[in-house]
Amino acid sequence: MTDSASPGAPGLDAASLATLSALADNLPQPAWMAAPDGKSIWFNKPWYDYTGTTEEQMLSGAWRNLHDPEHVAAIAARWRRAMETGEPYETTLMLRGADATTRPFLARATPIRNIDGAILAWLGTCTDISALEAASAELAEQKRLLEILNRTAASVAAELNLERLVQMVTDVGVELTGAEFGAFFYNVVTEQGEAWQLYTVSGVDRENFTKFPYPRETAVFAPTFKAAAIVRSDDITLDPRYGHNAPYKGMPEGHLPVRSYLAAPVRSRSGEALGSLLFGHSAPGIFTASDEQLIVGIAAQAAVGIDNSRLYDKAQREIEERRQAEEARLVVLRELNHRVKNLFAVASGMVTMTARTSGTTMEMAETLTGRLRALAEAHDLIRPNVSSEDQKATRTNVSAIITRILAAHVTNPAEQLRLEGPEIPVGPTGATSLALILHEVATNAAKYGSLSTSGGSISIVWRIEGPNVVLTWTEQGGPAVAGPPQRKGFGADLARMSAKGQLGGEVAHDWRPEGVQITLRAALDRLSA
Amino acid sequence: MTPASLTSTAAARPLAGARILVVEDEPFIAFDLQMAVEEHGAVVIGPASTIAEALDLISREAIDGAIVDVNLPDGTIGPVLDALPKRVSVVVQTGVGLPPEIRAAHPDVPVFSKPTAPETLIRRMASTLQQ
Repeated sequence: MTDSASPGAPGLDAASLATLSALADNLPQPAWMAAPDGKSIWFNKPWYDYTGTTEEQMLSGAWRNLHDPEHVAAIAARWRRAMETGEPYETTLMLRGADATTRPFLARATPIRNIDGAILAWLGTCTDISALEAASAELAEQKRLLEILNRTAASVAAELNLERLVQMVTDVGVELTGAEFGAFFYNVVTEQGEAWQLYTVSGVDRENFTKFPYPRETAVFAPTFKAAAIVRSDDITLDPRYGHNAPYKGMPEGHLPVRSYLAAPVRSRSGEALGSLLFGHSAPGIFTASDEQLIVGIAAQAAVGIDNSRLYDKAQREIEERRQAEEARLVVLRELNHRVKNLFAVASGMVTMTARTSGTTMEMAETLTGRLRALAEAHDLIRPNVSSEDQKATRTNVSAIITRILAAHVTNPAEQLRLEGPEIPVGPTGATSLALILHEVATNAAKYGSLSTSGGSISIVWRIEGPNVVLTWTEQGGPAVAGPPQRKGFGADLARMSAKGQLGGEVAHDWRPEGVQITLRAALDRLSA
Repeated sequence: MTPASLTSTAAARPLAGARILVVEDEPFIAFDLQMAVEEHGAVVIGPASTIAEALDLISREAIDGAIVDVNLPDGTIGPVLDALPKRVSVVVQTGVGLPPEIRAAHPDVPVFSKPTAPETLIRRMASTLQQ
């Protein structure tokens, strides 16, 4: 490896040189020999085969032409240092071959010494390490991809927000495959059949996708769509499945220029097709089989993440529903508690009032029992269903209250009663008032009116008049009515006050000879309260 | 069936002639109060079963004392308490309690929970009655 050619090496006899040359010619890799001062004296056959040089060129300093000019000085310096120290020489260098490609080599040279230790010559070899380098680069790339995959797996597992999760997966897909752009489409069902709806975009502006109709189930998209298979194409525009569908016969004008195409279905554990990951590049032949494998892995992670996110959402919804149900139950309990308290207050007033207005203990017991029963009937009708969130369960209606209250006074409802009127909802407060009024009126009818004889009957008709309900109670077939009673009973006072105060209306009596007619007017909003 | 209160003598009737407003929408309770107040020789103003009716009575009638409910069909008792002159002796009877804002405006008004015997309410009201 010096500029001047030397036919022999001082100190190395011709026989030794011939032996070494024969050995070195049989090495599979390039080898050379140099004099103790570093001058090249011989190159083996593989050397000339690889470099395409001649002995004459090599012995006149052509080695420089085999390296990049910028490396020559460093290589020469390292070689000189070996000559000075006598230490074995070792370096990696790039060597240009006969085909003009440059490959990496491990260059080594060891000194050959005589028994006194003096260097007789240097024997050097160059080992092609391009396969090793490539394997090492491949390993580094695999390591990088694995790291990305692991990082994605960890992030996907930690991410419960669906949009962030899918965005992350799309971004990672672009990073791993070297795509120019990527997107995740959700499977949705539209009027035109199944379609994809854009969810996340990576690498380009979202409008590159949103300005076009979403992909449909065409020959190109269907395999991914049906969650059946991954589609990888070096040039999708050359794919036989491409360009058959109206209106665009391929990509719409202005669409991102997709040549390399990679699409993977994202499928739930249950087998449901959740959506698709699509990657594209404007140059052909970008996506490799290993990219395809990576995207399969990414798609699987996306599916797990989406499943988890959905489960989490479902769990959150259930927790919220349970909380609301519990709240509703508490509201009902509070309402119930309030109502029971009120009931005791009313019953307490009922007891003392009935005591005040009754002549005998027996009469008091009878009257009180009737009133308490009316109160109980009303309460039964409006009893809230504690296990249900349906607030309507705490409502009843006018005809139900009439039927319940009169049942205690009428022996043959089919013949003695005629009820007619629309369905009108009644709330808890309204129901109690209406029940007590009807009870007092019915008690009078049973004592003195048409329910006191076997042939008597009552017609109860109600209708809505503006903001009010007007209920007309008409008795007939009872004893002849002489006129208003001499002494107004407490029951009538009670009915009047209830109608006025609680139902925002009034009670009017028409003492007709053939039977009393009572008109009850009540405000609709009070009744439903 | 004659309550013991009916037998009380005129000398033990500090309420005789007093004008007592009763505001209560439950008829049984209202009538019970009315009769209990009348048995003490007092005059019942009402019973009013709504806020509107009570305010109308306050504007027209002289009133010495009041026994009032809290929740009426047309609202809570606040406006009635506000409208009553300071000297009127008031007791409140309620199933739900006095709302905080009304309690704040009338911190000294005695409140009884339903049901409380009319006699208890009347005795408490009589203790601060000025005629």
